[in-house]
Amino acid sequence: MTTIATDAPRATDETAAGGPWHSWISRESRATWLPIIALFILVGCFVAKSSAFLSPMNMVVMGAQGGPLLLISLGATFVILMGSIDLSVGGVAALSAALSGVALHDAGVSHGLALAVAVVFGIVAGGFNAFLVTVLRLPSFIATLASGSIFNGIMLHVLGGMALSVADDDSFADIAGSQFIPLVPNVLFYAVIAWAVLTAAQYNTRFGRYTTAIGAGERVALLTGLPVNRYKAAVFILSSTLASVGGFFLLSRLGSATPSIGDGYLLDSVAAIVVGGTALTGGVGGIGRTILGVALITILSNGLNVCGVSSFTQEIVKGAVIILAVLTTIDRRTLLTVVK
Amino acid sequence: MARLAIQDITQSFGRFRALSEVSLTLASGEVVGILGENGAGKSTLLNILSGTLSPTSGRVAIDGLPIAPVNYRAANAHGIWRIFQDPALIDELPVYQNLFLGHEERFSLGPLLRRRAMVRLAGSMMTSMELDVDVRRPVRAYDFATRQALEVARAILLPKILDMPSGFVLFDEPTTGLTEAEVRRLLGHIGRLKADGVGIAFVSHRLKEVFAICDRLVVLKDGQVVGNGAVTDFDEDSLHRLMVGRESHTRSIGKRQVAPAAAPKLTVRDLAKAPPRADRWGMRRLAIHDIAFAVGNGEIVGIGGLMGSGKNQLLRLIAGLEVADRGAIMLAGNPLEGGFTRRKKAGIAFVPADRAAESILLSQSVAANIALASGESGKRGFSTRLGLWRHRYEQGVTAGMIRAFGIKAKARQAVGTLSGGNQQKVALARWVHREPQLLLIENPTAGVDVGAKAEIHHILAELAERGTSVLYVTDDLPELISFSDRILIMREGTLVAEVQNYDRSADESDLIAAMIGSAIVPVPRPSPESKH
Repeated sequence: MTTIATDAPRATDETAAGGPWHSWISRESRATWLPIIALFILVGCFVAKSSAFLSPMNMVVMGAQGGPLLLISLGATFVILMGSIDLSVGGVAALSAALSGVALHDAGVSHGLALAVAVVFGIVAGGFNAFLVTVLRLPSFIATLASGSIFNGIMLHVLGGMALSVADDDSFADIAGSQFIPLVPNVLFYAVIAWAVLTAAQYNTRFGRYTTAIGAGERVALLTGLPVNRYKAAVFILSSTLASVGGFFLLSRLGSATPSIGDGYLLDSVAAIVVGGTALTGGVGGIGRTILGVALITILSNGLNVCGVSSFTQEIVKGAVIILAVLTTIDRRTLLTVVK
Repeated sequence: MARLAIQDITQSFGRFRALSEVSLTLASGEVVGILGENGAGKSTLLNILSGTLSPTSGRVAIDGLPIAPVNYRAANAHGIWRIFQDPALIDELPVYQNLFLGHEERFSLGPLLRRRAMVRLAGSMMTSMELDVDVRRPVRAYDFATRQALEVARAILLPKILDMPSGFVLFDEPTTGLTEAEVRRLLGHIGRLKADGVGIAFVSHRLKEVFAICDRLVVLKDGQVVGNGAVTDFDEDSLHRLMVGRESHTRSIGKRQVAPAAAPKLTVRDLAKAPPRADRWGMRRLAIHDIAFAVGNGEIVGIGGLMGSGKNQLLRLIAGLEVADRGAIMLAGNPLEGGFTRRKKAGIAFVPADRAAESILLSQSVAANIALASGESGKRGFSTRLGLWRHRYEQGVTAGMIRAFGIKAKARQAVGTLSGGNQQKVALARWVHREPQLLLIENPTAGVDVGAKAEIHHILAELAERGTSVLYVTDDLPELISFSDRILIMREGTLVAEVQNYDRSADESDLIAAMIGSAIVPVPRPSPESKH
């Protein structure tokens, strides 16, 4: 069919009528505005419930919680944009925290060197994922699920199953916690800079354009002569490296590497990305909006904590929010959309 | 007596009206041809009838009773069946399960399926369709033409076998990708359906078939009925005028005076490739063998052949998408090696036939699709040495291509919203921008309307004028003759005939004879030396 100016790309002829609101708000604007609206509603609820929520101290806490999550989610967004998925980010962050913890505590290296350890480990871990996906041709879902488990297991060995404290002096905690800008902990500051750089990169570099193209149609990309495997490798390495740096800041913030340090980051990062409107099918969405998802997830977790909701209930609420977010942003008008 | 009546159907997508107040009728035993350019609303109309789309307003009635099928199964229950343009079959399932997909309850015995009965019935369907298909093998074992035939078998025979009503069968461009013989067989089936009193809607771009089979024609343009009458009221020219609003120009390329230079651009010698697995008798028959030919500078060479003759595989071997076992491919004197990515740098371009799966990123913009092949830095590249995207350059190139090729779209519009013809132009623009040495194309104008077809031929001829050699395969015989300087025919994995065609005068029946192997055409084994 020619020139059907529907608000979403029509993949086939089999367009079916969806709910009425699907037709008058485009997917694009839904994906942008619903998280923002949800954000305001959430903030409103928490403010009404608890006066502590908006206190300067809690703002700083939220910033410090959101920073590592943003770092971890950024690279993973590229992976999802490319049509793959990285389920190893939690494991990578945890092992990275453990390794830099050991480097600091046992080897007594400088803070900069510890960060270098985290970065190098991130590159190696990403290279391992890339090897599984591009050379052994495993589906990224299973490859990173497995490698995440491997990283987690190594982390337990490295820590011997116990917490490793690195909080000998305040200077290490200051890496994440001190504030160039009042009320903004540096971990959030760095993460936002990384976010801005990567957002610009998605639209303004060959890397970003090709990554999106691979997500939109890998076979087309191959038949257009794109070096698909090279870009895949680069994206997996980017994802693991950022997750690893996220793990390092997590260590700095918490002061000790505990066996459970990476727990929850896998779900939270996928949730943040999806809530931000990046489609799991690839090719649609972007880094830009992932920051909204991170804000939403962070405020939700923190607000529920401040309001005294039990951590058991929090898990339920988080799951429900993910389902709602996907329901409102996904394009379900086409009957033939394949759901996997 | 009209049984199926469509009254004032309007279908809007946002601000766009795909159909506005369309009315038509379909009687028992009547074949109604629905014609129009891509985008005229033909498929939308079929989608409404087959329950995959519910109209914005208007009504559909059978025997005076309004119907509103909510999905294809519901349409089946009203006796409406459809042959989809792209076979809607599941590759991994065996043929018999595909044939009865969605109707398994007829074969259920409690929770179990009566597989033997399914296989037997499916087998009898294959026999009556004269298809040589083992129904227990998965669908992916069969080629496109066979799959299309399975789709036809399903729509025609299923209602009889399952004892369901069959009042109407909708054919959506069923002959795309079929050979002449297969088309003839299909038209035979349609004739039989007609004799049984089934009402048939027949959507096709191929006017020859339309005139052969239809009783009445309905012409759509921009979602409105612009012509409706007995087939005898129309001729090719009047149809073209109604559909596109201008005179036809089928032989758009015409004769080319200049014979290409003697030094060939592409030389293929002794090319061979074995099929992936040994066949039933343990023989490793060569899938492609003894291929030798050359293509001159700026020459347009068309390869014809039946499905399975190996012509598409030959193209993919040259592109580097498959690995040859033997032989040499030279481009402008240099051996072509490596995969497609490397050969692309050497000046090869490749446009696959399957646009949605292999050629076009439907969700991405026209601009992104055109830039896709040239993201590298350099003269025609869309990025700088540092890997930054050249947005200005992209805008300029896209705007230029949209103008030069007459692509009816905006630069930022998603390509999935364009017609087949415009999508194909985008796919071509991507490669034309690179000014390749050799352009390889599969079915350059499949699923493209008449107007766009002529424009695409024009674009390619201009490219050839500038020195790019064009090597293409096609299943469209008139295209092969009207658009090739030279014609090669493949059969059973090798070249069997070569016809000089600078004056566009190749004989259709000679070509068909060479394709199917009744040796009317002398069969010299072409070699680069004996070329010009």
